[in-house]
Amino acid sequence: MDYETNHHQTSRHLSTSTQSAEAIKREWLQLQKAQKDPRHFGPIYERYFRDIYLFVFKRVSEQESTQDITQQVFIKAMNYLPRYKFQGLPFSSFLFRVATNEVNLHFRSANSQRSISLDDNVLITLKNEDQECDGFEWKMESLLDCLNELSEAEVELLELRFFEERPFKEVAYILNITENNAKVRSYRLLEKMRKIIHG
Amino acid sequence: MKRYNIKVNQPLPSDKEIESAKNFNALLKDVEELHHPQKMATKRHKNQRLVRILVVIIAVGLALMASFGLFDKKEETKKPTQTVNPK
Repeated sequence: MDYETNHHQTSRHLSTSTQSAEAIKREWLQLQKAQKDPRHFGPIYERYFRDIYLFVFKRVSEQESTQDITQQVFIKAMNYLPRYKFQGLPFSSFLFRVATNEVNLHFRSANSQRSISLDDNVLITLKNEDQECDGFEWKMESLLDCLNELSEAEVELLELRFFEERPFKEVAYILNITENNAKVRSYRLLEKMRKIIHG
Repeated sequence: MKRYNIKVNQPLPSDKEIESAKNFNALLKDVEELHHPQKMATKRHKNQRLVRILVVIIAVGLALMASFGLFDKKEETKKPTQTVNPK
């Protein structure tokens, strides 16, 4: 199989911060056209298909299911489109929100194990984000053991914030919680992980 | 038992593979097909409405017929049977 080796970039370019306010407004104009005629959704589909595909693949680790779920994400997004309201975030945030729900639905109906995809860079992110670590050193081995102790909701948050490095605003929107809540949950999660690792 | 299938530095699908999964026309078709059942449901709903109107009309008709006594059974006047005495 023809696989891409430089996967680090793909996991870390999906955040709102990568789009300027001007680009977000332009996208909203495109979406308004698509609300009237679904054929105008084409450029949005082209722009985000890859991001959504990889987002799903990392949680499913299986190409066939990834294709089905990605297709389902866009079908649901297009069905919801006439009711979609602009909230100052790129449309990708909405797509990731739908994708998160679809992945959860997939694991509820299928008898398969949820995947967690991470790379060596997450250790750096965790070290930078964990301001109260007091000399605590994040190691891959202990991190892997710790992951199996976490709930699905905690894994979801960990992936969005620390593995994919999304801003709190986007994490909050995807998980349908407030930005403040996203921050509190994230720091509590790091604390819990440190406790699990310490034993 | 491990709860999650954890993959470190997992190779991701190539651009070529992702591109091959992309099909906007198929998406448009799927979305359109999803809308058909709604149209069918509307038709069914209209038919149900028609049936309800017909039921009401028939019920009113029957009630009117009953009020005019069209269902009353005519009393049969039994004629006394004549017995013929052969004698």
